Amino acid sequence: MAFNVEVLFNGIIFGMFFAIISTELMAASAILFRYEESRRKVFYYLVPIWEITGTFFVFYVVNVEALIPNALPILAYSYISYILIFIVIYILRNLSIISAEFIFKNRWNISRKTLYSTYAILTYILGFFVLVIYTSLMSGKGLNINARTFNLASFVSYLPDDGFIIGSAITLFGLSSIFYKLDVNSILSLGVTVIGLIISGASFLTINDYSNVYIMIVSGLVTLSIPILNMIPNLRKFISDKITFQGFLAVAAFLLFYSVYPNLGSRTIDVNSLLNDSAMQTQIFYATLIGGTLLLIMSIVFFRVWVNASKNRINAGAEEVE
Amino acid sequence: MTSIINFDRFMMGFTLGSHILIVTLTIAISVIMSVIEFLGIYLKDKEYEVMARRLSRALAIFFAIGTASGTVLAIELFSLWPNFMVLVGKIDILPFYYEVFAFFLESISLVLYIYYWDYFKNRYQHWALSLFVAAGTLLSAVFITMVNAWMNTPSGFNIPEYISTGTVSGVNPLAAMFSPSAAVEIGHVVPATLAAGSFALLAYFAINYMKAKTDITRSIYMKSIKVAAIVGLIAVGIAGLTGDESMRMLYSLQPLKYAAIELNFHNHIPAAEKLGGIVINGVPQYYIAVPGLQSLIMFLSFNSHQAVPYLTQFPQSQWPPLFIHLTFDVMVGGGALVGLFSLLLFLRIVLKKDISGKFYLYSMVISGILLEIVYDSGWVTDEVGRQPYIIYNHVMTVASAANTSPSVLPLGIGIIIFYCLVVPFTFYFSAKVLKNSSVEKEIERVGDL
Repeated sequence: MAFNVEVLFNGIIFGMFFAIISTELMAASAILFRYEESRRKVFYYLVPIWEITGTFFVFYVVNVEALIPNALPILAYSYISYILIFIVIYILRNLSIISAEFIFKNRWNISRKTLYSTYAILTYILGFFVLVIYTSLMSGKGLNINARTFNLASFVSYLPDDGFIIGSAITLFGLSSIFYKLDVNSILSLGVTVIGLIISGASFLTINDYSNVYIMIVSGLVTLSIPILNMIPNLRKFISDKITFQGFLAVAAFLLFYSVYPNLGSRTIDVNSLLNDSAMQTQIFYATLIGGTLLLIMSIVFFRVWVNASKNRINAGAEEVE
Repeated sequence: MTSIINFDRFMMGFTLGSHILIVTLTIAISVIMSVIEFLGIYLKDKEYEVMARRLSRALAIFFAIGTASGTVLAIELFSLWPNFMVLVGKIDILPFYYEVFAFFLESISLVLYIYYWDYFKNRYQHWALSLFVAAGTLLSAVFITMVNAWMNTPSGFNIPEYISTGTVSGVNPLAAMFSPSAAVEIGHVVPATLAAGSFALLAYFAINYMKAKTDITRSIYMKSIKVAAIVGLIAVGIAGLTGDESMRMLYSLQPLKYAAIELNFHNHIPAAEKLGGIVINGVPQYYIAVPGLQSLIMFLSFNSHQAVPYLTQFPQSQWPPLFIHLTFDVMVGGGALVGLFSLLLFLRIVLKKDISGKFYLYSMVISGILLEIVYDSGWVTDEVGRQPYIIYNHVMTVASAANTSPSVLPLGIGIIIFYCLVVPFTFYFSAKVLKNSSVEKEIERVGDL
């Protein structure tokens, strides 16, 4: 496998982006299925995570633009309809969470629950869009690169594509109770996660875009280790720690990303052939080092304050409930 | 095809125009909030603390909508102008890349600043976060302006070879990032953005001062007015000085844009300054000419024999729309008026004279509105003045950069309608959030400083 340090960075950014957006998708699951419990255990984390997700999304988009600018016309023309719908839903989602968090005042017969539920559903739809684009790039189904078009019907009719998306959603659903410490039986979490991983894993293999199946298996095992560790009483606290959990998810997503590299379109496209000029790659490398160091420092400060303050808040909340 | 290109152009302009309104306020609030919080801690004055908290809540909304709007722009850039972004990606993606880190600095600091206000026992530590927030917003503006500067004065690659063969070679990303006009544009755009936002905020404070029913509320708004006025004066002053430098840069590096802005059709020595005027059948009319003023401003001499750039030096097919002469006049005239007013305000504040009279308060409101118009006029002048090129100097025309897929149309219209709702929504609710509880209660809630 060819090694490119810029692609490595792109994979790391993808892994971190995936971990953060996943925590939002898990929050969406919790809000939709366990609203009352979410009020105590999820809402406090929601806005900080939501704001960081938006920033990471832009980070990933710009990194892709820097890494493979030649791919932009293909993406722009092929997915233009989906991208524009994505934008509309993205704005709607932001409006619903802002209204719920900052503005809501029991007016116009809209309850706060409705606003949060709207946010959760729209977040799910956005997650679906991201997965559709990502999966279609892997499988190449529905995507006509020469004509620069994307046919959703053709994509959907290919079952492994559907399986990968549905399996991923089920996996995140299974993991949500661990991240947010919801009152869900740990065996149930494990069972749901296993089902999700089997469906998405089998679909991934059938899509046949991987370059190294062992890396993909390790990715699955890292994900699976989360609900397993959650079943061990002594390790439950460790794995449900927000930073540890996100670290596991980021590693799993990074490995999944790297198991595919450098293939796209069911091994018909070699990403290396699309990479940017080497002078630009060098500068992006330095920029990532400088910016990454800054980001790391900021993240450490952020998580330190966040976790300490959250512990105080949740302890206070628990006392109130008792 | 042409209609789709024009639609792309309109949609991008519309989205940017909406985004700019949010950005000016975001930048100004972050800076003014920081100053106000510092004054609150330093002077142990709870009224400043209350206003800083209120501003932080408004900033959260502006930031949230601004993030969404910025994401929309990032996506629009590559989906509406794919060929342009390919070139940017190959040559000048670095500023965008650094801008993301500035964005991170802003977002992480802001989350800590707003949600963990009371976590920090040392108030100066909390205040330090506001510096990071302000630095993040200002750096974002710096990096985005760098991209715009590169579009105006492209560099960092072999331009003749690209124009003749379409092949990108000799890429030097740092030379592209620090293009010839970058320093001058940053020096003008960033303070101008801060000035526009500061005066908009000043207008808001003035309105609320007039509507205030209690002495304590009036006191809080008057203190905020003074801070916004001083920040606004500094920003508008710098923008004015660097604006002069910008014209010299245009004279050297973008002579066609200069000629269009000044409506110089032919060579005249010394050159007159045309105030106002429109072009009818290729002839400028209804303007006031001040003899020799243009040469005086440019060469600092009444007797200069140097020529200024003029339109007939260039093929007419390359001329930008000439209405930019008017938008330029609005920018300079409006900016000068607001600058003079802010100087008057500053003098009265320094001399401890009253500025709560109706003349001053209504003038603040008018200044706030006027400076947003001035800011947008400046932006239109800069962008339209580069037409028909998206990247100046024959590198890339708007037409060759655009996405011509018809799918753009229906959803683009949807997005435009959306923005029409989102921007008023943002301003309305930010205003609400700024005063959603009584000042007295908020002062009670603020602990000892």
